Amino acid sequence: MPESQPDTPGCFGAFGGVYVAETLQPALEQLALAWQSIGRQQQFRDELAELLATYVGRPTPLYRAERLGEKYGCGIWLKREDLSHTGAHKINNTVGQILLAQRMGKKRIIAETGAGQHGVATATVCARVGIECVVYMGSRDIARQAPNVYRMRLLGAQVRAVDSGSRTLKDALNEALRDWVTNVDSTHYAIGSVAGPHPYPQMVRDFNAVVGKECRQQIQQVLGKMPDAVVACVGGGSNAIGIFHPFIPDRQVRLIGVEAGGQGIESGEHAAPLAGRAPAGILHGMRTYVMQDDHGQIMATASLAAGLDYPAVGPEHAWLRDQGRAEYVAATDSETLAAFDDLCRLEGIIPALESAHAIAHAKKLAGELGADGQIVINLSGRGDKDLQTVAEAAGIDIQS
Amino acid sequence: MSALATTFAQGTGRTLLVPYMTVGFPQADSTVALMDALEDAGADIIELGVPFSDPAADGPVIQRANDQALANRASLTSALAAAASYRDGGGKLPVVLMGYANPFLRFGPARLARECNQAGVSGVLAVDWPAGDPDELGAATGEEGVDRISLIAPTTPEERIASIAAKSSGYLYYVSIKGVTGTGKASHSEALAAAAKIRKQTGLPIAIGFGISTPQDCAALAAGFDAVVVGSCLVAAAAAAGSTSAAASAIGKIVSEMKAALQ
Repeated sequence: MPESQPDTPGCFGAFGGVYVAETLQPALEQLALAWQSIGRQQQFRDELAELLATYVGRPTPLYRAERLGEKYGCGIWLKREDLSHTGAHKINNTVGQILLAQRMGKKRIIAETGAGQHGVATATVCARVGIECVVYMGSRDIARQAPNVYRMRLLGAQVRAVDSGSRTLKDALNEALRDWVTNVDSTHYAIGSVAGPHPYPQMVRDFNAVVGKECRQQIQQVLGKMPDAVVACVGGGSNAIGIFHPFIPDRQVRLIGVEAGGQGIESGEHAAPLAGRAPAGILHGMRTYVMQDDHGQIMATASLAAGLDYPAVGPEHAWLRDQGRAEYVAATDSETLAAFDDLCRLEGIIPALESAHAIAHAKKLAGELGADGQIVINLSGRGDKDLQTVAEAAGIDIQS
Repeated sequence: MSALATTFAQGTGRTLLVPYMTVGFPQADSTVALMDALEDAGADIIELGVPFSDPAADGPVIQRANDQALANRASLTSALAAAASYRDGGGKLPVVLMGYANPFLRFGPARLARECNQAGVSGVLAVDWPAGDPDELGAATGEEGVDRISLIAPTTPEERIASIAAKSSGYLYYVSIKGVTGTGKASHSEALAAAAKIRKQTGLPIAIGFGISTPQDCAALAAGFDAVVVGSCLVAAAAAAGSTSAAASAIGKIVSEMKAALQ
C-alpha cells in the first residue's frame, strides 16, 4: 500500500481534490502553500506544542476501562480526548488552524459545526488569541445541542442559525462556504473535519494525528505490544483519522471506523456512507462516498448524534476502505444508547453520543476477539452536551 | 463551429443577453413556456439551472428555487427533456446547462455529453467542477462537441486565466463579485478592468454574471463583455408570479428591457 498522503492535486487515490467554485481556488492554493511552509517552521511547531501542553492539556491519558472490559469480555482502553480542554479532540485542529490563519494575516475565523464541539473549540481558541469568530450551525442542531450554543456565545462567538436544506451539519457547511466566498480576503475558514477540498483533509488530519502518536506510544508502554484493534466513530472522520494515521503502517492492528447507523442501515435512516455502501460523488469540495439519490441529490441523514449526522466522509477514509486498510461499520442509535449507559454506569464516564458509537461496536468486536483481545477506543468527546437528547430518548423530562 | 461559437460570431459588435432559469420552477412543467418567453423577449442564449440539494455558490433566491424545483421532482433528466422539447417546439436559442458537479457525475460525464447532444444542449457549466488535469468532464463534452464553460473569478490570477481558457470552449463566465448569486452588486469599473485583463489571455467570448439585476447594469457592462448573464432577478420575478403564464410575462418584461438597454 502506498503511503497515506495526498498527491499533487490533493487526492487520495480517486478521492479528495479541489471541487470548489473558482473564487475559492486561489485561497485554497494559498492555504496549501501556507500549511507547507509555515506549518513546518520550528517556531510554529513550538508554539503549537506549547499550547497543546498548557492550554489543551495534552497528552491525554490512555485509560484501562476494566469494568467495561469485564462486561464486554476483552481488554478495553480509552484514549481520553474527552479530558481535553473543551471536552473533545476538535481543539487539536482549531489551535493549529487558527495559529496558521493568524500568520497568514487573516482577521476573521468562520466555522461550521454539527454537535457544537468544533464550534466551541473554534470559539475558544478565537477568544484565546483575540480574533473575530462566526459559527454556522443548522437550526435543527441548535435545538438539540443548546448547551454548546450558549457556550459559544459566552466565548464571544456569533452563532448563525442555518435554516436551509436539512438544517444540519451539511447545510452549515454550505453556508460557511457562502460566507467564505464572500469574505475570502479577510477570512479563514476553519473546517472541523478531515473533509472539504485539499488541503483540509490532510491538514486537519495532521493536527489531529497527535492523538494517534500519543496513543501508539502509550499502548505499547502498558501492553508491551500493539493492540488488536483501534476503534473510533466516523462522521467526517477527524477523530478517527487522528488516531488511525500513526497506526497505518502497523498492519497487524485493525483500524475500525464506526459510522452512525441511525435506525439501521436497512431502514435507510442513517448517516453511514461507507457501511451503507453509498456511491462516489462530489460534495463540499471533495470527491468521496456520498449518500445520494439516483439523480445525485444529497440525501438527508438521520442520527441521534449531531456530530455524525453527515452524508459524506473524509476522502482518506474512502481511500483506506478501498485499500482494505481500514474497516467501516455502523452502530445504531439504540446500540449507542446502551453503550452510553454502560460507560456511565461501569466507568463513571459520560461519553459524547458520537464516541458512544465506537463503544457500541467494541462490544461486538469483543465477542469476536475473545478474552485476550485488546481494543483501543478513541473516546473523542464528553457527553455533557447530550444529556437532553439522552433523557428525551428515555422519555424523561430533565427540565422539570 | 459550435452553436455557441456561431451565436457569438453572429452577434459581433453587440453584447448578448443570457438569462438563467432553474428547471422545473416555479411549476414542474413551467420550463418550456418560460424558455419560449425568454426567446420571444430577445434572449440570445438560455442557461438552464439544474437543481441541486446543496447549492453552495447560490444565494437565497436561487436556493429557494432549487428547493422548489426538487420538490417538483426536477432533475438533470428533466432539464435535458425540457431542452429537447423546447427544440422540438421550434426553439432556436443555444441552451447551456448550469449546475453542480454531483448530479453531472452521478449521471455520468459521457452519458451527459451524449444526451446533451441529442437534446440540442450546446454547453455545460459545472460551478464546482473546475477543469483539472485530467479533465474527466471536459474530455466527455469535447468528444461530443458540447462546450465546457468555465468560471473566472475576481480572485483568479492571470496565469490561471490562461490555463482555464485552454480547457474551456463556448465562452468564459466572469463572476463579477466575490460572493454568491443574487447578493451583491457588480462594480462596473472593476468588472471592465477584469474584462481587459482576461482578454489578454484568451480569444474566447467573455460573459459576466452574478450581481447584475438592472438594464443600467447591462448597459454599463456592454462595453467590456460579449454577454451578460442574468439569473436571480428573473428567478425572483418567476417566484413572485402566481402561475407559469404570469411568470413568463414577468421574466419576458425584464429581459426585453435589458435587451433594449444593450442595443
